[in-house]
This record gives sequence, C-alpha cells and structure tokens, in this order.
Amino acid sequence: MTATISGVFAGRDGLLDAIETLKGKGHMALDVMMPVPDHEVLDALPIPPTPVNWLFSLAGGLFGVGLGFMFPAWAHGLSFVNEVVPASINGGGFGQITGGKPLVSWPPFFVPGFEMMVLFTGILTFLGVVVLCGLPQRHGDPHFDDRATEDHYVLIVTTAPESSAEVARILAAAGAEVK
Amino acid sequence: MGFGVGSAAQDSNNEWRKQRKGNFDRLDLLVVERNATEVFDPTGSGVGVRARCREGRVINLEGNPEHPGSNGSISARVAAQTQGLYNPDRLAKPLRRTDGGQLAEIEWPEAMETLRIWFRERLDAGRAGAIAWLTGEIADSDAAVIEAFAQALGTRPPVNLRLQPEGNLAAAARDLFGYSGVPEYRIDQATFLVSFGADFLETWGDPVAQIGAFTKMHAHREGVVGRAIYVGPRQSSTAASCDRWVKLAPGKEAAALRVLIEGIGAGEAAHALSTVPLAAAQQVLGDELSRTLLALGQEVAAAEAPLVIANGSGPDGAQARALALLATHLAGGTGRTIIFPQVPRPPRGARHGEVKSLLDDVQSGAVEMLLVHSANPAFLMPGGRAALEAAGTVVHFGTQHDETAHLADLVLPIHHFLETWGYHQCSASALGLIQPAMRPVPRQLPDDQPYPQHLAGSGTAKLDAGLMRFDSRPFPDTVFLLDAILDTGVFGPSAELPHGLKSAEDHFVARVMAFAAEHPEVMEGLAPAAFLREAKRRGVLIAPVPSQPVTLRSDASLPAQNPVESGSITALLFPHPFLVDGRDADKPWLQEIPETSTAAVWDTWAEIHPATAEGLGVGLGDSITLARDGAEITVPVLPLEQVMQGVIAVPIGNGHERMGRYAAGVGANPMPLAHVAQSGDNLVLHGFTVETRAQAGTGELVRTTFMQTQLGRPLAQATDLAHAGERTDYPGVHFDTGQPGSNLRSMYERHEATVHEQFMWGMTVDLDACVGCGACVAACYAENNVPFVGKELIRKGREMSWLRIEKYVEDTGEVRHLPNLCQHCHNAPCEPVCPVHAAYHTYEGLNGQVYNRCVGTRYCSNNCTYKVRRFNWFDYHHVPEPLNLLFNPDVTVRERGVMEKCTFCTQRIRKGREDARRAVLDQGDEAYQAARPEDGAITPACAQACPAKVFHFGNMADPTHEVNAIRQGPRSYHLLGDLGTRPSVTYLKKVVREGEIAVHTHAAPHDESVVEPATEGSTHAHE
Amino acid sequence: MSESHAAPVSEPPALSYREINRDIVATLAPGGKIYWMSVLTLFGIFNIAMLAWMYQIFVGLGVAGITHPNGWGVYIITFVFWVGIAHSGTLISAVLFLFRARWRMPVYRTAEAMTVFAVMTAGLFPLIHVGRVWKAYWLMPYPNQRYLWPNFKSPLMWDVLAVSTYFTISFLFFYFGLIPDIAAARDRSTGLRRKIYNVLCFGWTGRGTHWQHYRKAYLIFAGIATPLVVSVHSVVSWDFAMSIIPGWHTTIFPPYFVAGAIHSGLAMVITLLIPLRRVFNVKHIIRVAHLEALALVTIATGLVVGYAYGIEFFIAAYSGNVYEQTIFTDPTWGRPFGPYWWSFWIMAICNCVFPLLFLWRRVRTSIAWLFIISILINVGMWFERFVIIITSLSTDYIPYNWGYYVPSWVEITILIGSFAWFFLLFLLFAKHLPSISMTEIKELVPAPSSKETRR
Repeated sequence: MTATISGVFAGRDGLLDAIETLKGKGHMALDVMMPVPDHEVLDALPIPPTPVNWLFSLAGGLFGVGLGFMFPAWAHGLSFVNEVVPASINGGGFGQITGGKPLVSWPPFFVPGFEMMVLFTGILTFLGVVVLCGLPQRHGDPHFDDRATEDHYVLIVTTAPESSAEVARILAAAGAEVK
Repeated sequence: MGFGVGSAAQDSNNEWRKQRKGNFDRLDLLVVERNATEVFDPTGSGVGVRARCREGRVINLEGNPEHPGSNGSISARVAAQTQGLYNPDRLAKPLRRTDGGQLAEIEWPEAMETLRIWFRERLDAGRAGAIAWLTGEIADSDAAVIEAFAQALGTRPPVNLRLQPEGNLAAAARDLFGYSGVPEYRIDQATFLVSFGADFLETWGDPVAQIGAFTKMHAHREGVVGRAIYVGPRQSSTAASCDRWVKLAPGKEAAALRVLIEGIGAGEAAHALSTVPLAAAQQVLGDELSRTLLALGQEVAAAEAPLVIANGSGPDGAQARALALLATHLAGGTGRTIIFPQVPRPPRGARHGEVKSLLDDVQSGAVEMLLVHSANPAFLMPGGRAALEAAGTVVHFGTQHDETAHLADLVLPIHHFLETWGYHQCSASALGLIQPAMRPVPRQLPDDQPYPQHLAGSGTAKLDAGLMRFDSRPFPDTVFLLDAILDTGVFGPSAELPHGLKSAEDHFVARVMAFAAEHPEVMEGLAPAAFLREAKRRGVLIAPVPSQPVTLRSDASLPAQNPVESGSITALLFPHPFLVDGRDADKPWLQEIPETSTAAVWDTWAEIHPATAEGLGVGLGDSITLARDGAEITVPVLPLEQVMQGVIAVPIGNGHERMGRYAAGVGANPMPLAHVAQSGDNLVLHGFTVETRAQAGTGELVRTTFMQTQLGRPLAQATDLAHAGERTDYPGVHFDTGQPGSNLRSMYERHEATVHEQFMWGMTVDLDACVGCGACVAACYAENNVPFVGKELIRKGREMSWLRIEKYVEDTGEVRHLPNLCQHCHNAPCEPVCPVHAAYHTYEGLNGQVYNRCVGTRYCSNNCTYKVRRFNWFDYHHVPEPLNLLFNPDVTVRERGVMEKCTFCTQRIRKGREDARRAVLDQGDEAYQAARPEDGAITPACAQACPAKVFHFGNMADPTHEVNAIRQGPRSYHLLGDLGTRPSVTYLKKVVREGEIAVHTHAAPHDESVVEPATEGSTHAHE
Repeated sequence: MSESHAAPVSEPPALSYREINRDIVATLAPGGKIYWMSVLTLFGIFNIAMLAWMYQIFVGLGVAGITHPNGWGVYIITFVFWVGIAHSGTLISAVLFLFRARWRMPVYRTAEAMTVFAVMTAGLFPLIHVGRVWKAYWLMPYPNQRYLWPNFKSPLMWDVLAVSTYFTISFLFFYFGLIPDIAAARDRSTGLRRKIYNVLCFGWTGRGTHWQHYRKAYLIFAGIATPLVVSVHSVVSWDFAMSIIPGWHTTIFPPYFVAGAIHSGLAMVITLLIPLRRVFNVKHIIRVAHLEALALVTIATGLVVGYAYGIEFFIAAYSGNVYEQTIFTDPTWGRPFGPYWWSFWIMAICNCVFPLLFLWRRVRTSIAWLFIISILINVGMWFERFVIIITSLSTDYIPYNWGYYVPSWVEITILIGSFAWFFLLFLLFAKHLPSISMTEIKELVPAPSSKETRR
C-alpha cells in the first residue's frame, strides 16, 4: 500500500530543493514531470540509467547488419543455405549470374548490411522508448498538470501512506502546490 | 487460284482444328519450311528465298542456299516484301471510276463485264492496235503470258518499263560483238574492278549476288587481293566499299571511259572509237583527271582479270555501257569477267524512248486503252502523269493503290508474287521458280459470300495440304485473269492462251517441264512427277550454259553521243538503296532502316558538298528547291563531303502521293526533273542542270545519327594489307586494348570454365567483308518482331533496331561499316545494374533479357557501353491489320515499358539445340544431355541474310566450331575491349588496301605468357 | 531589414519558457484565407502533375522526352535533387546535435520536416520514371511466387534500401523530436484538437524517467542518422559511379554528392526559413544570425563542390582517357563548350560563385540576398544533376549513338508538380505541428525560477 503525492513547482530551484530534502529523508521513489529534459533535475533524481541503448539499439543494429548482409547472400545463392533451406523457397536456387561476378559477391552486400543496421537500430530504439516508457499512456494521469509542458515542474513522490503528510509538508515548504 | 475454297477448304479447316486440339506436342508440325520460291528484288534480279511459314502464313523470307546467284542470302528489299504481302493498304477489290470521277469498289463479275465491254468496243471498231500494254518489274512468266495475250489479240506488243533497263547493254553487245542477249558479269572472277558510277552493291544489276561475288574477289577472308575502284560523283555505299574513289562529275562517264580505254590501249577498237574522239574527251575531263584515268587504264590493262562496268543512267548512258564493255574486252576480260552465254537471256526493260513514245501516244489518243501491269509510269516517267491524265481508258493490274492505279479507270488487284506461281530467268543458266508460299492474305470476306459464278471452277489453285486454309479474297493470278478475259468470248471461241494455259500453276508446270525437255540432265533420272516435286523443293533449276567466244566486229560501232549539259550545279538522281524505283515505298521497314550512306529515314533529301551548300546559301536544317522544265521539288539539305562539289544528289523512291499510309506524303519525287535522252536510249538521271532556290530553315532531315565520324576512337578498326596477317594494337588509348588473349585483370574469377561448359555462343563480324547493305538489319526486324516507329520517333532517337550498321568516315575519306549489335558480354555492364534480374547471364553465355521481369528502369541501357538496348516507349505492336500476321510467333511481342535487345536469335539457338538432342533421343540420357548442335546448324537471322557472309556464329565451347578459329585470327579485336566487358562478339579489322589508315596500327608486343596457345582453340578460350 | 544584427548566433533568445510556448503555439492558430488559398493552389498544381503522370502511364513513357541514349532525364535528375535536399535536414539535426552546436535548435525542426517531405517527394520519382509502374513493387524484396529475389548487387536496389531506410529513420527522428512539442501543443489546446494531439504524442507527460530514455534514444538517433546521411547520398552517387559510363564512373562521386546534397539542403532551409520566420513572426527566435550561420556553411559546401567540379576536369585531362576527355575537356563536346554548355555554366556559377558572395557580411546578413542566393543555389544544384546525367549519357563511347535530350511538357509539369507537392506538405505541417522546437529552445534559456514567478 503506497500513497502518491505530487507538487507543482513554478521554478526549478524549488524543485531541486525539494528533491534534495526528500532524498535526505530517505524518499527515493521520486519522479518529475517537466517541459525539458533538464540535466540537473535528472541527475538529482534517484532513477536508474536507461537500458534502451544496449537492450534495444544494439540488438536492433546487430540483427539489422546480420540480416542485411546474409539475406542478399542467401537470395543470391549462398551455398550452405542451399543445403538447409528447401529449394522451393530458396531464392538462391535460381542462380542468376550478372556481370560475370560470382553469385555471392560480398562487396555489394555491405550496402544492404549497413542500411539494414541503421534501419533496425532506429526502429528498435523508437520501440524501446515506447516500451520502456509504457507509451502510449492514457492522458488521465491524476498528477499531470497542463503547466508541466510549459514552464512548471511536477514532483511525484511515492511513499508509504503514513509518510504522506511529511512529504506534503516538505513540498509545500519548497513552494509547491501540493496535490 | 484461290477460287475453289468452298467445301474443300472447310474440310481442311476442320482437319486442322482437330489436329490442333489433339496434340500440342506436335505443334512444330505447324512450322512449314515452305518450298523455295523466287523473289524479284526491285532491281529486277531474282533472289532465291525460302518463305518460312507458321500456321499457314509467311513469317519471313530466308535465302535459298541452293540458289546459284544469291547463294542463301537476301537483301533488305527482299526481306521487306512480306510487308507488301500484308500491307494494310493493299488493293482488296476491283475498283472502277464512277461517273463522279471517283474510284469505287466493285465486284469481280462487274469488273470482268466492264473489261469485256471495253475490249469489245475497240475490237468491233477494228482498233486492236489502239490497245497497248505497259508492264513494270514483273516476273518473266507474267511477261510471257502478257506477250502471248497481246499476240492473241493483235494489240501492240507490251512495253516494259524499268528504271535501269538492260536494253543498252544488249544493244552494245550486239553492236560490238554481234551477240544478241545480255552478257553476264563475273565479278567474283575479277581481280581489278572499275565501276563508273554503277552502284553494284546497292541497286545496279543483281546486287545480292554481286555483293557475294564482290566479297569473293575483295574480302581479305578469301585470301585474295582484288582491287576495286569507283569512279563517280558520289561516294555511295558501293564507292565506300571500294579501295579508291576517283571523283568524276556526273555526265562525264563516256569521256572518262574513252580516256581509260586510251590507257588500256585502243588496239583493234581504234576504228570503232573514231566516233568518240579522245581529244574531246580529254577536254571534257581536264588534264589532271585525264592523267589519272590514263594511269588507271594502265592498271586495268596490267590486271590479271579486269572488269569495267558503267552505270548507264547518264546523258550518254548507252555509250558509257558500250565503252565499259569495250574496255573490259580490250583489257582481256572477255570470257573471264564477262561471259557471253550460248543461250542468251533476252534483256529486260525497254529503252526509255519506247516508253516515252507509248506514253506520248496515250496522251495524243493514238492509244485508246492502256493496260498497265505492275508498273507505275505516273510516278516514274517524267510526263507520265500528264499522259495518264489525258489517256482514254487505263486498266491497272497490281497490288498497290499507287499513282497509276489512282489515275486508272479500272483497277484489278492481282496476287502478290508470294501467293502465286511463276518463273523468272535469273541468269542464262538458272531458272528461278516462283511458288505460292501461302493462301492469299485473308480479308474480311463473309464465309457464305458466293464466288462469281462465271469465274468459279475455271482456274482453281491446288495448295499443299500442310497450309491452313484461310478464307481468301479472290485475287486472281495474271494468267487466270487473262484467260478469264479470253473466256468471256469477246475474241471469239478459239482465242486462248498458248498451250491452253488456264492458271499460273499450269504455266509454271509447263515451263518446268519444258526446261527439263531442253536440259534432260536436270531430271537426274527422276520421273516427271518426282522431278516436279524436286524442282519445287529446290526453287531453282540450274543448267549451266557454256560461254560463247566473241570477237570484236570489224564494223563495231558505238552509240551516238548525246549533248552533255554543263552548268555550275548538276543534279544526280540515284536510286535509294532500299526503295530503288519507289515500288517498295509502302514497306515501312525500308523507310525505317537508315539509308546505307547517310542514315536518313522516311524522306527524300539533297546531298550537297558543304562548300557548294555554302555557295547556295543553305545548310543543315534548310531546304532547297530544285527546278527544271517546269517541274520542281523541295527537299531538305544534307551537307556531306561524300558528294563532289557542284553536285546535288537526290535519292529516287519517295515522294508518293498515293500508295498507302506508309508511302504517301513521305519525301519528294525527283523523277519529273529527269528526262529521256535525246537518243531515246535511257532516262537521264544525272548530269543535267537544275535551277536551285534556297529555303531557309524549313527542312529537317531525320537521321539515326548525326555523327559519322568515330573521332579517332578505336571502334571500327582497320589494318593495312601488309599487317593484316599479324596482330596489331591501337595506339592512343593508353590502356589494355582488350585483344583476345590480352592481359585483362579482374577481381573476380572468370566464369566461362565453370559455367558455360557445354554452350557458349559467340559471333565474329568481319568488317572487311561488310559493305553496309542493311540486309542483316531488315532480317532482324523480320525475325524478331522489331517494331517500326516512324519518322517522328526516330527524330527523338527512338528507333528500335536491335542491329544497326554504323558508318564512320575517317579523315582520309575512308569509310568503315560497323555492324553493332548486343555483344553478349561475359562481364556485361547491363546485368548487375538491373534491380529485378531482367538482364542476366544465361548458362549458355548469352546476355539474357527477360521482358516479363523488366520494370523499365533503363539503367541497363544507360550502362551499356555499346548502346544496343532499345526501350519500348509506346505500345508499338498495335499495327494495322493484316500486318499483325507478320509477327513471328516464336518471338515475344514486347509490351510498352520494357527494354529489348538482340538475343542472338535465341529461338533459333533453342531450336538448334533441341534438334541436336532429338537426333539422339534413343541413345540414352547421357547422350541426350551431351548433344550439341554441329557447326553451322544454328544461324541467326542477320548472319543468314548477309550476302557478304560477314557474320559467323557458333558455339565457343565446342572446339570443332569454326567461330573459335576465326576469333583467334590476327585481325580480331573486341569492340571497346579495353573496358573489360569481354564480349562474345569478336570483330575482324577492316583491311585498307590503298592509302593511309587514319589512325595507324602498329605491331603489338606479343606477350607469350598471356596467350596460351594450347588452350586457344580449346573449349574455354580465355578470351 | 531593420533587425538587430548584433546578437551572435550563440546567444539564446531573451524569452522565458512561457513566452517560448506562447510564441510557438501561436503558429498553430487556424490558417487564414491566404493560407488556405495557397494550400489549394499548390494542391491544384500537384493534381495537374498527377494528371500528366496518368497520361504518361496510359499512353506510354514516350510522352516524356527521355530517349536513346539518354535513358534517364528529368525524373532521375529531380529524384537526385530531392534526395539531396533531404540531406541537410538530418545533417543540421543530427551532426550539429552531436557537435553540440546550439544554433541548430531554432532551425532544426524546419530542416527535419524538409527532409521528410523531400524524401517523400523524391520517392515519387522512381515510380514516375519506370516503364511499368504497375510492376514497380517487384523492386521490393518479398517472398513471391516468381521465386525471384531482387538483385542486391544493383545500385538501384541499394537505392531502394537506402532511401527507404533514410525515410524511415528521418521520419522517426523527426517524429521523436516532435513528441514533447506535440504534448505541449496539446496542453495549450482544447476539444478535438487536444484529443488528436494527445494521440499523436502517445499521451506524453514529460516524466523524468521517460526523459531519461528519451535523451539517450535521441543521442542514438543522432548517432545513426549521421552516417546514414553520408551513406544515402553515397549510394545515390553509386547509381552513377558504379556504372561504366564516362562522366559517371568516378570515385570522387560519393563525397562530391554528399557535399552537393548538403549544399542544396542548406539553401533550401534558408529558402524555407525566410518566409516562415516572417509569416509566423518568430524573427526573435530564428534570427538573422542563424541564417548567417547557415550561409557560412554553404560557403564551405560550395567550395567542396567547386573542388569536385575542378577535379573531374583535371582527372579527365590527366588520365588520357579519350572518352572522359570528350565529356570534360573536348572543345567541341566537353561540358563547358558542348551542346549543353549553358547547363554547365548555370551549375558552376550558381553553386560555386554565388555562395562566395556570402563572404561579405553585408550579403549574408541581408535577407533579400540570402533568399535570392539560396534559390539560385537550388537552381544550380538541379542543373548539377542535369549536367552529370545528361552530358555523360548523350556523348558516351559510340559517337553513332549520340543524341540530344529535350524534356517534354509532361516532364516539366511533373517537375513543377513536385515542388507544389513539397511546399504543400510543408505548408500543412507548419500550420498543424510545431515547426520550431519548443523543448530545445527552452533548453537554451535559463530555467524558470520560483523567485521570478513569485515576483
């Protein structure tokens, strides 16, 4: 059983003060809503680093480069694939010689490899943000304040119900409208 | 023929349908390799062809290899004859002039009744002599039957109109040697050939046979070193193929020949020559030219087997032809290069004076009824149109609605010669047989329409059962028609054609059997019926006629000289190499294929030397009006250095007002400018003066190229005679020349050895043999359904030809012809750039193009270094009916939006390969798989058509194929070989025999480490 | 122009968070009569072009002026032109982001939008260009009953992959940056508009944890977009450089094309920003100093393309290759002297000479000069592609083939229509989505403090 208390700050200095004070009191479940990705605020917040870079972007990139490089090779008739994949669906079985080059000539496949790497990195990164942030979220967050996308800051504190009064006091002391 | 359709045809149709339903695996039965037949080239000579038929219709014409003259090859003109057969504007029904003055379609009975009444009127009045015949370029069989008809009626004897008649030559032979008949040239036997304006490789004489003969005496391939000199005002394709071009103003042939004879030594002919004074001739020519010709005469005299020929279309044409004959005789050519056969062939074509007097009689009313058969005097004869307009009654027999038909009162459509029987004497010793290749071209005739009763059953044709029976429009053949006229009883019950001929087939059979009776040896012990079958199969009967020795008559005389006009500007009318006398102007291929020396299409133009053009105030893009005796034409100007200064050269053949959609309104007809020589011997086509008037900016001549120079690039390469036997390299290009055997490096391993083990198709193209005649181009159009696109699209550069002959003029004036087609490169630049694999390399080494895969990015065309790929910008296959019947069903008709190109005639390769396999069908799977066609079993259309045998095709993976040896030869090189495309087409350099080579070749350092002699001829030549 | 030229580009706008929101959201106010008239006009022009295209589809590609030997013409020229335009957007956005060039912030959204719309425009042209557009989907790698995959060795296939990747990544990058701004716009609007904006921004609330992911992801996008920019125009250049045609077959093409693309893209950004800042009254956010900064980069890119033009002549002369020499240095046929001499000089003067005028401060701070020169650079860059494609094809290896290319009315109509399409998209975008990034401009100015608010 937890309680969530939020305070709307008109200025960043108050917000930072409140964060420091709350952290000092042992309240670590803090989050804010703010109009910009403010470094100082983010640094002050006790939140873990994002896994989007390695969990999504890197995975996407590796998948993309593998696909972009090996798929054309297969489609042009890479031999070991021929043994594994039934000929009926194997593009390589067709064996179209072009320009006197070997069927599987690697240099040209660097281009699809690179492009697919970028493509899948991008798509997975986007997806990663969507997934990690739990987007899309319904606009009905009770703590959201329209001013949070303009010039106000919302500090959201999740705490035990018995501490809520203390938190509210701290927020108010830092100059916030407590909700 | 063609009248007995009735039930027999119905049965046959049902039979055919049953067969087709039954088994598709026997579909190839529908390919009927028809009996050989004879086509007459518009130049009047016979060319043996085999009509290839599919489902009862002619698809294309291929050379008949058993024919002694044309020797299995054809010309562009011959290839296009099928477009006359299927011409959408071909006459379909008889036409009669109505009271309103218009020609209206009528039924056959009405036409015959009209004709009967007209004859009756004249005969009743006792004016049979007021009936006259004028014939054109017709077969000997038709000429003979018309002659017989005229005799039976007692009318005037027929007059034969040809642009270049043989009468003058025959007259010269008579006056000089007392020989009656036409002497024959043996160009292949000559070692030194001098042509005075005779375009013997294009339109003069028998060009198809002459190209073959010229190649034999001149091409380096044959190992002979014959020389050919052209003396004339214009560097035609013929002149360009000769070793030397001596410039001679038009109209001075006789004078030049007179001086030449002086160089040879007048000897026994001194008396005859007295009528042609040397001094006058020298004065006409001037000092320098006289000296040149004297020296040339000495060369002729020194030659082993000399031959001098002359055009005969000048003001003194008759004299020139006689002097040429005399020159050859004096230099010792008689019996070697000129033959006088013991059984002579009568000359074809009346003196133009006779034609003119006939037309004068027509105009004056002395001739009341003129029967014109396949001639077009309204187009070809100066004043012919006026004569016909004033004529009493004109009856026209023909297939085309031309100018003469338009002026006729009655037009009777006749068979195309591919639908009928007949014969044509090709030479004294060869009788060409004309046989129907198909039923007459179908028209929209209701099945139940009754045939005219009085015609039915009187002359039915019997066609081979293998042909599909189309319902046909009742075109009668000439024999049948004439017999039907006699059958009307108008001339009394006894009037009939000789031997009771009822149809052309009767006539044919009678002539073949008569030939066999004259020459029993041709029977080869066969029974008459079997002999007839064999004759039909061969398409030609050959009975060598020995030559007759001749001597100069003591009273030999030369034709009188006509006055030669002199002026600052003289005209030169020359027959267009494809359209010749204009008879074929309605065949779109002949309009579309670039003219051999200028690359102009769909037009008439005036070739003027740039300096002269400047003097006249005209240039490219301007027009010029030429006027003489009230006639005038306006044509676009083409400044070219290939004509002499002071000469305006205009091609004959275009400028039709009628003759269907492809001919009407194209170009201008220069024939009204010409006139009949004072002596009446011939039409004067050159050497007369014209008035000129510049028309600025009104003439856009469409050509398929504007660059007839290769800018010093090593495209069409040449070597000189001294170096022809050794490998030479081209300097000026700093990198590898790409010679076969040269050291081209590649990142990739070559795939021939592993991929093309069984088949690797290759071709060689001998530039030394090529005379640029365009036969290959036409054959390619016919074989591969290559669409014609018309003048407007060619102006935009969109001609569709898969094979083109590029003409390059060097700075020295030397001309090289480069047939350019898909090179089927092993490292083809077009293949890897195609995103959808439409262009790819087949396992037989061909550069494949799958039309159905193509999306039309045109990247392949851009990247093709030879630019031989053509794109379908529109739906070109929508041709008017019945031209669609001409499509070759073996070849895809391409959709709009796809790229197409030469396939090496892959359908023929396929057939050859399958034939080879079928031959070993019972020898097991291994033999089946290993079966390879023999050398020569597969011939692409271009190679088959070529009279000069420029192309050689074969399997490079099979060492027994000759193509391997040829491509290893010292003259071989690859077009743009330095780019590393490694083409399958290998060119052999032209050999320049006289004069400087514009870009010198020099001996190449021969890198033995690169050329591996052991493998050179083997399966996988490294290059 | 009476604006202050004094403020340096690095100086942030003197605005509070609230004022930034106010000024930029104000651009989203419903459009007036002039706006909708412009939209309708552009839509009309675009439709005329589409009719021309339909005519071409039904009658045949022959209605265009393309012919032999010029198999490529206005369509490919314009394709390359628009792909080039597309380049600056991502460059300004990504590369300058990585370099922490703070002056990018007011202009990058416009540039990114330009990128997306330019790629959308460019993407039409391969379809217009191909002979059988109804089969154009065969260029896509998908399993099919024909058992045939496309040819991945073909530069055109690379093009398909690169341009579609570029479009996807640019769009994602563009959209990703838009999310917080759409949220901000949402919170300043009501009714249906608010609902739509909410869907578009995925219900963004600006939570700190979300910003944490967002910030990292944005960096990654910038990181991958930068090499992508370089690769895409390199791939487009390989359409030419991988071929064997003299004038195309050149190793300098990839950097040359990338520089050219940036050159044209920067010019197009200037062309778009000048009216935008005027119409939307945001001259205090997009200041002359920003345009000046863009102009300074065009001097550099102009010099790079000028160098590339020069080096082509040098190599042709130095190599001794007669085919190259014909295209470049031949006095009759070479690019500066031959039948297309005018296109060469338009290209050379517009791309290399006019940008040098920006060396004068007076020129590069003058709105009128900036506008004129930026348009001239765009003209020059279109002709650069014309010169490369047409002169090389028209005078290639075999003189017999040579031909002259004249665009037809269909091609010209479609070319004009492509501009209408691009500006139409841009116009619709500018009025309906924030065309200047609120979030990033806020990062430039000091964060709001409680004291000020209390005051």
